[in-house]
Amino acid sequence: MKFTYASGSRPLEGYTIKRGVGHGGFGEVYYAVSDGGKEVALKLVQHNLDVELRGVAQCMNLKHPNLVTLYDLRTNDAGENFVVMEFISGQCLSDVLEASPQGLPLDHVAQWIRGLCGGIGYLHDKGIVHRDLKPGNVFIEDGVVKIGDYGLSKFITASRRSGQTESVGTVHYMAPEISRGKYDREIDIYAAGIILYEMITGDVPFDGETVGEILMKHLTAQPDVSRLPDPYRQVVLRALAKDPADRFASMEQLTAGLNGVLTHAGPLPTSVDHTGHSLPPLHAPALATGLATTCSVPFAISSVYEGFAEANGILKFTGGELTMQFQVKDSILGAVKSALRDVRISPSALESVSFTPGWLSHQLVIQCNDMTAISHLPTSKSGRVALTIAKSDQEAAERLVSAVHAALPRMLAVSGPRFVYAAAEEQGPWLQRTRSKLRAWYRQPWRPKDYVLAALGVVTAASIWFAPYLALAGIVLMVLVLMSRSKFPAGTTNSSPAPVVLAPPMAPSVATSVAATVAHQTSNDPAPPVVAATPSPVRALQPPRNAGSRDLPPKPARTRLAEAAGAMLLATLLAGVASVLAAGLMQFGKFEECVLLAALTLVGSWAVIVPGKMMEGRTGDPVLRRLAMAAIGLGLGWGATYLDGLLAVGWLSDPRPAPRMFQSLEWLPRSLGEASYFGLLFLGPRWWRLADSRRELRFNPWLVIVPGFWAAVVSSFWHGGPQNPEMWRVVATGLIAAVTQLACPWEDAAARRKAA
Amino acid sequence: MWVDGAGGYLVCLGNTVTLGQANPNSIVDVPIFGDLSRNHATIIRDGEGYLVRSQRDLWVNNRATSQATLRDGDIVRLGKAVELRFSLPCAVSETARLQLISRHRLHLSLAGILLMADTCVLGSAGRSHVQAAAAAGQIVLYRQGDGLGCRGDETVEVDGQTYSSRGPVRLPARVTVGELSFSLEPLSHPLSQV
Repeated sequence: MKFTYASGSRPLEGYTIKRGVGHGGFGEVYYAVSDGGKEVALKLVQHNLDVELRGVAQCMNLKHPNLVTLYDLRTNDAGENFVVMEFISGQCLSDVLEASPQGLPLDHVAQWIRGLCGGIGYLHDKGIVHRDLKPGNVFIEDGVVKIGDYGLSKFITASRRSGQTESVGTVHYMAPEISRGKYDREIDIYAAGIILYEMITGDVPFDGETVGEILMKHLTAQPDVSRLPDPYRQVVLRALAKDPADRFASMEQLTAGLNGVLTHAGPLPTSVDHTGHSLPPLHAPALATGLATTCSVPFAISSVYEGFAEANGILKFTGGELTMQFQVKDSILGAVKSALRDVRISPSALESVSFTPGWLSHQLVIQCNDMTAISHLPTSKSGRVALTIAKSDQEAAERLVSAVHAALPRMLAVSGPRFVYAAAEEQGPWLQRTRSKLRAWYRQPWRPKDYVLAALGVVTAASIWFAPYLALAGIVLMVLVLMSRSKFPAGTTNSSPAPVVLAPPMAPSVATSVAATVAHQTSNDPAPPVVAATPSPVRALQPPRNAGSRDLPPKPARTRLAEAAGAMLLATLLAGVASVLAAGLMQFGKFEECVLLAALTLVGSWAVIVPGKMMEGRTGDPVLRRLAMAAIGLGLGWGATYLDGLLAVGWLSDPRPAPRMFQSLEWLPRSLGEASYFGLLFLGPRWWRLADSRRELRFNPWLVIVPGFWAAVVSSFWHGGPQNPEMWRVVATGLIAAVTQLACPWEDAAARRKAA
Repeated sequence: MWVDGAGGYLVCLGNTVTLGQANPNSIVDVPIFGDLSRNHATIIRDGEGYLVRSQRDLWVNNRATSQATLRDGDIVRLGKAVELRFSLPCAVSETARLQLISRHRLHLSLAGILLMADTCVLGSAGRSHVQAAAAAGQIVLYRQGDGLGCRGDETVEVDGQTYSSRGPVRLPARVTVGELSFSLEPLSHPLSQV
């Protein structure tokens, strides 16, 4: 490449040329530095002087982020004209296309076309037609698209012939009407259509051996748009219409045609690689289908590295990209070590994502092949990030995994990352079968008939003093559930964990909600794996503590107060009816017993509703909450003991002997011993969940059985032997749980998500 | 070194090259506009290869370290975000090339930093240290005594003087071989030239 001026020469006062950059249609372009240190591009205008200079003068004060800024037009003593412009250190689109002969990733295409339309749209708005739009005139610097050489070609045919190498190259972007001497803005739209086609496929739509052949194709041939994905196909077809009147009327219209794609476009790589290696691998089939799925989940990472750092933040999945927004903290001092960062992981950088439900929290492991993407995280030495997701956000985490998964097959058709739901699949086949059946049974929506059957079963079992067996069944069931949930198998550890690959859910909308049906796959089943991200039955024991509270803002206090008042009123009615029913079934001998049971149920359910409504929608330490509930339980117990004495029922006072554990402590007031049972009763289960309007199910039989079981256990230790829990205590506890659930308003989770 | 049609390169001739933050009183050979310490890292060339060493935040291929030997294609990260690719493009030459791959830059727009050992190859081949896209020929810049010399596959023109195949290069110099041309100019730093 020959240049007129060598490095160090100063053809223009104030600027020192450093090197030649290239030859444009109008002359040589140099990289120069001003005396003050400003980098500029100097264009020595050698051809079509007047045309060029008029064009430059017209555009001198145009400003747009997507246009290469013109600084000045200068003439030296020798009469040479220089255009002083912004120096772009990035790549030119033609270089980028050369490096990717198969076309660019679609998110990059979207970014380029957005910049292109922005800049050209601005020029059109100012009444200027670019007339020489081609990849060689479009640049990128730090992720910003810049269009150069605008306003330079008044007579486009002349400029083409004068160009040294471009005479054939630029013919590819020439609209058919140019042959009739028409140079309106439609020719820019046509050229943009050609560039769009070329970016996606890697080839120009009309190519040929000679200039004449190409021009003829522009005039007559139809572009082969079958190679383009959907929103682009129509846009290119319309932009390349032979009749200018059939094209988009403006660049904005072209952008509008691509709107769904452009708004979700990811950023272009900000790093410029002079050898072109930084371009991510091609994934042309990627398309906008999965792009609408968005969800986020809070996470935490702690690791022993660089002074015990930990990170927490939010993981988001938007438009095929995972974004981590996080902060690194010193885990000992709690001091923030780095500002809030936003790290994007593009699908091409993802190798696999796996989600492992755990006993206390869940693990989401992201494996990246591009380690630079996550190198700011504390645990990224091998491109692997293990995120800890709090149990309360299980639903969000599952939704994240399934959303990522739903979008995946469409994004990476060839060698996409694997998304894995690594559930505890280590148990034997029998346990698995039982579990899946249990799970399916539990996940099934209950019909009214089921409630009646369940209630009948429970009451019958209770009324015929089946309690010890019931307790035994409860224990077995709980152990089963715990085992199925545990990350570490109870018995066998010799078999390696068999991750289950998630099959793509049918539609993103299905994927975002927790799948209701379960198709379970055993680890030795050779059939194609099909498992939906499914919550396991442990949800019954420990549903999200503040279920849904992260999806929606907490309700205002006034609403909660109203709900509490309504629930208390309804509870009064329910407590009366339920107590009479229970008294009949248990064949109470005295009317006072029924009254006491009713009062206990009523006050007990109030004692759950009021604090439950106060706690609703807030995060709080479960231990503190339990202690508060225990205090309330003590009060309830005291009241019950007093009422018992008043009514002379004899459940909590003479003639019944004092609680076994307190018999030796004669100095202790009797009522305290009795009340302590209620305190312990309220300390155990997380009662406040029963009143949460965003609880999992309207009426969850588990949440009746578990407190009842707890009451049986406490009662056996307090008063009788393990074989002899006092039945009224179990029944009263069950009634409190049932009445509270039935009385408290409930928002359907599905409806809630839909509303959100 | 300014290569027409290719880019500018910072040529470091010393066996020890320091990298750090660019500021008016930069004390390092390679001043980078980035969140770095003033003297952040040192790259040392010995008979066996290159070694990067730092008391500060240094990552090589995403591994935090204080010292590492560098191989072709290694990614060196200084501080939180400044990333450089280390490459040894030419098997027969020990000269290495560093390219900033993060969005950081030196005080001028440079395509890379050359850690020049004995020879430095300019040409269109992929194994050249400086790749000139449209270049037909090849220029080899080499050390000659205390200074530099160059040779080309056709007549070499240095500062207007024509040599048949080899010519001495004294700073500042302008070298043209066929279609390929470059200029060397000294930098205020003692060990390096632009």
